[in-house]
Amino acid sequence: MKAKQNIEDQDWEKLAKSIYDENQGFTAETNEDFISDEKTQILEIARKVDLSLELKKYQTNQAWEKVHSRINEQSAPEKSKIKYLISHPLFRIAAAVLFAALLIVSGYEVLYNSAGSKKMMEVSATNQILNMFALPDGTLVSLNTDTKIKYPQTFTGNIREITIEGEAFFEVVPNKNKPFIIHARNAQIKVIGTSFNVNAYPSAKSVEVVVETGKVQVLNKTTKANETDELILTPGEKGTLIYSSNSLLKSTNLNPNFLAWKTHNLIFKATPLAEVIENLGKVYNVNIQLADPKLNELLLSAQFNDHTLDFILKVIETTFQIEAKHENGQYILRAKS
Amino acid sequence: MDQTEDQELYLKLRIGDERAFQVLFRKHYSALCTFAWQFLKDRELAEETVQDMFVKIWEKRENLNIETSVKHYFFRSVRNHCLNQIQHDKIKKRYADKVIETSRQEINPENFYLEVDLIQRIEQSIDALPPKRQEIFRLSREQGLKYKEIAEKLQISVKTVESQMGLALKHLRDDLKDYSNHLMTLWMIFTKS
Repeated sequence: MKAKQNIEDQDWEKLAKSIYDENQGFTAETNEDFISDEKTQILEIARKVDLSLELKKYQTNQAWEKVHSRINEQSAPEKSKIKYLISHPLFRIAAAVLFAALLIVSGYEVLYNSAGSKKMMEVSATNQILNMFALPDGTLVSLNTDTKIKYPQTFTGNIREITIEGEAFFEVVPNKNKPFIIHARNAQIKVIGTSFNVNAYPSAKSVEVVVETGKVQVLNKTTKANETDELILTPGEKGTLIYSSNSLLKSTNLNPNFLAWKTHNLIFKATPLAEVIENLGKVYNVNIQLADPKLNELLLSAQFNDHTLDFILKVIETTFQIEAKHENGQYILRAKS
Repeated sequence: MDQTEDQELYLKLRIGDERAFQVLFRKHYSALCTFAWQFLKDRELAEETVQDMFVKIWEKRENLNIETSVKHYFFRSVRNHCLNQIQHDKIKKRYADKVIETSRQEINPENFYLEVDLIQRIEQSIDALPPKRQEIFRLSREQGLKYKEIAEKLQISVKTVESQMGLALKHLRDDLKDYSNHLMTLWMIFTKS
C-alpha cells in the first residue's frame, strides 16, 4: 500500500493545472485551503520559482542608468565622497617558515613570465591543494585544485594586485597605504587586511566571495564607467556575481563547509546524502554516486575534523547499513543486499 | 543584519551620498517592481513607478523621515504611487478595483525577496528539464500563457501540456525540497543556540 503522502503522476497533473493554468505569473499570497503539509510545500516551491522568474525580468543595471541620469540633470552634480574601507588591523606573521615548508608540497608550479617591466609569477595547484603560499607582501593564500594565481614578483606602486582563476582562501597582511586587489573574472575584490574565500572557476556560473574576518569590497567590473555596482561584505556574509543576470548580490553564507576544501573539517546537520557526497567529492576530489536516488532520503548528522575519505565512508556505511564500492575510478553507494 | 545595513545606507543617503542611494536601489529594485506589477499587471508601468519613487526619494532626501524600516517605507511608497497611477487613469478599469482591494492588505515585503543560492538552484533546476518540457514550462511561467494557448502555439494537445507541466512541477519539487528542508534545519540550529 502506498503511503498517503505519495503523489501519483495523475495527481501531479491536476495539482500543476490548479496552480498554473489560469495563473499568469507570480502571486505573493496563495489563497488555497491547504490540504496537507506536502501540498503546502509544493505551493511554496511553485511560488518561489515564479518569483525568481519574475525578479529576473527587471534589469536593475539599465534602470539605474535611467534613474542616475534623472537625478543628475535635476540637481547640480554633487560628488559623493568615496570612502575606502577601514578594517581591523589584524596582524599577520609573514610566513617565511611556511614558505620554506612549501617546497615539499607537490602539485604546484611557479612560472616566470618576464613580459614587460614587471616580472609576473604564476602559481598553480593542479590535482592537489596548495596550503599557505606566501605572496611577496607576506599575504598567505591557499589554493584549491585546478586553481592558478598571477602576481608580480614585487608589489610596486600603491596597490597590491593579483589575478585568480579557481578557488582560494586569502589571509591578507594589513597595509592601509596599499590596498590588496584581486581580479576574479568579472569581479574585483578589494581589501586592506582580512581573510576570505574566493570561488571563481571558469566553468562556474558565478563568482563567490565568503568573508571570515574584516571587511571586503566586491565590485562588478562589467558596469559602465560612470556607475558602480559594489558590495561591502562583513564576516559571515557572501557576495555572488551571477553571470547570467550580471547581478551582484549579498547573502548570509549558509554553507558551514565553504572552507572544507582547505581544512578538511566537515559539518553535517541532518544533511541529505546527495549533498554529503557532493561535499565529499569537492573536498577529496573524487566522484561519488548514489546507486539509488532513494538513498538521498537518508540524513546525516556528523562532524569530521580532517579525517580520511575512507574513514568518512566507513561511518556512512555503518550509520545507514549501506556499502561504498570503488568501481571504475568512482565510488558507488548502494543499499546492502 | 539586513535592516541595520539599510538604516546605515539611509543615514548616508540623507546627507547626499549617491553611492548609498545606488546600493539601496540595486538591493530593492526588482523586488519593488514585482510588488508594483502585482497591482498594475504591466511591467513597464511597474518599472516607471518604482523609478519615479526612487527619484522622489533622492529629491527630498534631506527632508526624509523614515521611522519604520527602510524596506517597509519603500513598499508603502510604491503602493501609494500605484494608487496614484489609477487616479491618473492610466490603467484599465478592471484592475483598479483589484489595486484598491489589494492596497488594503498588510504588506509583507519578505514575500518579494529570494536567497541568492535559491535563485541559482531554481535556474539550474529549470535548465535541467528536457527541452520540450522546459519550453512548455517557460511559456507558462515566463510568458504567462494558458494551457490552451501553449497547446495552440506548439500545435500539441492540451493533454500533453497538462502532463508535461505535471512532470515539470514534480521535478522542481524533487530538486528543491531539500533546499527548504535545509534552510529549516539551519533555522532550527540558529534559534536553538
